[in-house]
Amino acid sequence: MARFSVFTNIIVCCVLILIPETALTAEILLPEISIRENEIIVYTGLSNIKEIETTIKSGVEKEIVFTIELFKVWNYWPDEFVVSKKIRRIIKYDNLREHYLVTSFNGDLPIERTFRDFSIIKKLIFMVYDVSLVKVKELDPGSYYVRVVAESKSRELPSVIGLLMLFIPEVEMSLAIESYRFNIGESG
Amino acid sequence: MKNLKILLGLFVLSILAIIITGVVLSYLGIEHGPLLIKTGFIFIIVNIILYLAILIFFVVRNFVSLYAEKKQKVIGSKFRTRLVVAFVGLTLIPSALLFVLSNQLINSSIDKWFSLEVQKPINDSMDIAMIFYSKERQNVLDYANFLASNASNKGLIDLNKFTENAKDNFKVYFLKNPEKSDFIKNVFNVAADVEIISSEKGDIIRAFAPVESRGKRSGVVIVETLIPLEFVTKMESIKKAYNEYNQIKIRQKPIRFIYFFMLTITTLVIIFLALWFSLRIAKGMTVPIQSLAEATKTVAHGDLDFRINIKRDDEIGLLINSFNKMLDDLRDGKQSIEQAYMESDRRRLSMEAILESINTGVIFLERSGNIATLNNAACSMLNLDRADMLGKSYKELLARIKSDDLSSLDRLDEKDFKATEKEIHAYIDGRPVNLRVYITVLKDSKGNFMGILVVFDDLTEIITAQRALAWQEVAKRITHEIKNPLTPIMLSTERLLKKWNDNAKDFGEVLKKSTKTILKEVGSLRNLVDEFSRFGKMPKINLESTNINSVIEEIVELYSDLSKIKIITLLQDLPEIDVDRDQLKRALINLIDNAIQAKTERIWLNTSFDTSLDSIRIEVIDEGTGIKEEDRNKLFLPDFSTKKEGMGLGLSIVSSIISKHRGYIRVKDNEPRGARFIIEIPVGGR
Repeated sequence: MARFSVFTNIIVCCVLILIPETALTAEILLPEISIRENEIIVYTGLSNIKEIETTIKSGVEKEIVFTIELFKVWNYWPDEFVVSKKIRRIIKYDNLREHYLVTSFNGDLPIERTFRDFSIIKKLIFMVYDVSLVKVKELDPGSYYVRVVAESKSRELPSVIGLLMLFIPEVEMSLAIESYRFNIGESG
Repeated sequence: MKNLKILLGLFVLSILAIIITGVVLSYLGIEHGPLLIKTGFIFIIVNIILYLAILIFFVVRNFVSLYAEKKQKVIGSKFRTRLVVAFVGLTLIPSALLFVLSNQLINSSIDKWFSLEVQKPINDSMDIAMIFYSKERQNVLDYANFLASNASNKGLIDLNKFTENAKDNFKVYFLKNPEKSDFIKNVFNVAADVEIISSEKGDIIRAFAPVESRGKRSGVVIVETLIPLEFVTKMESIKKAYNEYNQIKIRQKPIRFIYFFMLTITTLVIIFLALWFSLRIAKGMTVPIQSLAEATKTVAHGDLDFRINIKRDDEIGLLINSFNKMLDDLRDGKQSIEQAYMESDRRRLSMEAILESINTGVIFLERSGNIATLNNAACSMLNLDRADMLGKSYKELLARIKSDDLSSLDRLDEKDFKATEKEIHAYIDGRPVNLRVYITVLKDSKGNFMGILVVFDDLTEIITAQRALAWQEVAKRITHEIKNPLTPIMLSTERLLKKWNDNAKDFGEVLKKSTKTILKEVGSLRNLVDEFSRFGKMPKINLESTNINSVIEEIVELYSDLSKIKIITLLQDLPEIDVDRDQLKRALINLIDNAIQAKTERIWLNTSFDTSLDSIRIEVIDEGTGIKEEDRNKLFLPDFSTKKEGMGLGLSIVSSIISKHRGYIRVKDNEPRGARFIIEIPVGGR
C-alpha cells in the first residue's frame, strides 16, 4: 500500500512538472484585431475563470498579466518580434471588509480602486479592451499576427516551508494564443 | 595536463550551472523572496544535480565496465563484482527504506497541514471575524435606515447637527448635500449602503441611508462606529492566517513535489556517492590484486624485470612492496644462478675436454647405477658406442666385458659400496685386455651418495712392455751366466798351455784339475743352454683339437706314483678346442711341480666351461705355502723366482704358453691356505 502511495506521488509530481496548468481550466480568448484610427487595436481576455475566482475569493492576492506581442511573419525565417505591451493588474479580496482592492498600472504608476461587486472586477481584471498596440504607419508592409500571453501569479508566498518555497513557480498559470494573421500595407 | 582537464571541466560545469540557473530563475520567477538568496540557492541545487548527473554517469560507466570485464573474465573482476554487489546491497536497501519512510513521513506531515483538524479552526476563526464585521455592518446600516425613515417627521435627531448617540457608540450625521462623493451620491440616488474605512484608530464602519421628506430625498443619514485598532489587528491576524493557509492549500501539490524532489535528490546523492565510494574501495582492493595476478602471470612467463607501479601506504602497499622485493631477489637469484650455471657449464666443458683428452677411461654411474658419463678413452678401451651406452645400467656394461674379476662389482648402485682398486683381466670382443680399475664412491658436501666414479687404465701394452723388458734382463743374465763359466775355462786352458810350454812337472795334476774345471763349467753352460733352449722353443706351438680333460687325465697318470701327494680332479664336460697339447701339458706340469715344491699334500685340478665368457677354465689349487701379495704382480715375469736355485723362467714360460693360446693366467689365494692358479682359454677361433 505504501509502495503504491509512493509511486502515485511520483506520477502525480511528474505530471505536475510537465503540465502544471492542468489544475486550472481557464482559457484565453482569441484576440480580436481591429485597425482604428491608424492603430492596431486588440481585444482579448480570459474565460472560464471559476477556479481563479474561487482562489481570489479565498483571500489570495492575484496578479493577472496580459502580454500582447506583435509579430511579423517571415517565410523560411523565424517570425520577427515587432512590439509588445504588458497589461498588469492586481486583485485582492478583503474577506473581513468584503471588498476587492484592484490595482492597475498606468505605466509604472499604480492606481488602486476598491470594488464590492466581483462582476465589475471580472471585466476589469480578466478582459483587455481596445489596447492600442502600435500605429500602422510605423509598420512595414507584410503579414502580422498578435500573440497574447496571459499569466496568473500569486503575490508574496508564505514562508511556511522556508527556502523550499523559492522553488515553487511564481507563475501559476500561463496561457498563450495567437491571433489570425492580418496584412498591413500593400499586401493588405 | 590532468589538472588542466579537471579545471576545464569545472569551468564548463560552472558555465552550464549558471545557464541552467538562469533558465530555472526565468521559469520560477524573480519577484518572490530575496533574489540573491534565491539565485544562490538555485545555483547550489543546480550544481548538486549536475554533479549528481556526472556521478551517475561515472557509476553507470563503472558498472558497465565491470560487467564487460566480468564477461571477458578479466582477472579480479569476479572478486570486484562480489564486492560491488555487496556494497550496492548495503547502500541501496537502507537508502530505499529511508526514502520510502521519509516520503511517507513528509506526505503524512503535509496531509496533517491540510487535515480538518487544522483547517477547521482557521476557517471558524475567519468565519467569526467575518460574522463580526458583517454584524457590525448590519447594525450600523439598520440604525442608519431607522434614523433615515424617522428623521424628519418624528424628530428623533436634530438634523444638520452632529449627534452622538449613546446607542452602541454610534456617531450620527445628517448630510444635506450628497454630492460629496460617488459613494454617497450613489446612496442618495439608489439605496442605503455601508462602507468600511481603515484608520489609525481602527476600522470605521459607516452606513449611509437616504432621507425622504414629502416624497423627496432631502439628505443622507450617516451612522458610523469604530472597531478599535487592537480588535482590528486581531482580525487581520486571523485573516492573514486564513489567507496564507489558503495559499498553501492551493500549492499543496507543488509543495509535495518540492519535498519529494529534494528527498529524491538527497537519496540519489547518498546512494550514488556511496556506490561511487564503494566502487572506489572495490577498485582500490581489486586493482592491486589484479596487478599482482598479472604480474605473477608475467613473472611466470619469465619476465623478472616487471614491477607493479602502485604506491600505497597500507597493507596492500606492503604486499606490493614485498612482491616487488621478491621479484628483485628472484632476478638477483636468477642472475646468480645463470652465472653459476655458466661457470658450471664452463667447468663442465673443461672437465669434458679433459676427460675426452686423457687416455684414462672414466665412467660415471648415477645413483641408480645408470651410466651418466663415458669418455672417449673408456669407449675406445672397452670398444663401446657412447650413444648406445649412456643411460643404460652398469650391468649391461659388465655383461659386455667378459671377466671373472668383475663378479664382485655387481652392487655398484648401492651407496655403501666401498672404494676399491683392482687389476682385472678381461676379454673385449675376444681381445684380452688388462685393466687397472679404480672405483670411487662420490658424495656431496653433506655426505649424500651421488654415484660411482670408475676410472681405469689399459695395462695390456704396459705389461707387454714389462715383459719385453724382462726378457732383455733375461738375455743380459744369460750372457752374464755364459760369461761366468768362460772365464774359468779360459784361465784353465791358458794354465794348461803354459804348463805344457814350460814342461812343468805338475802338468798332469794341473791337467787333471783344469780339465775337471772345464768340464764342470761346460756342464753349467750346457744346463744353461738347455734351459734357454726349452724356453726358446715356446713360440712354436702345434695346435690340434683337444679335449683338455684328456690332457688333465694324462698328467694325473704321470703323478700316480707319488704316494705323498694326492691329486684330486673335478672335471666338467668341455668342448674341444685347438691347443698345443704338449705345451699345455708342460705348463700344467710346471704348475703341479711348483705346488709340490710348495709342500702341499693335495692338489686339485678343476676344469669348467664358462658359457658367458665362452672360455675354458682350468684351476690348479694347492694347500701349500701360498704366494705373497707383493710377489703376485711379478710372479709371471721372467727372472723372478722365489726359489734360490730358480732361473725365474718357469711361470713366465707357463704364462707365455697360455698367452700363445690367447688365454690368461692369474693367481689367487686359496682358502684356507695355498694358491689357486686360474687359466682361462677362450674357445672361439683364433
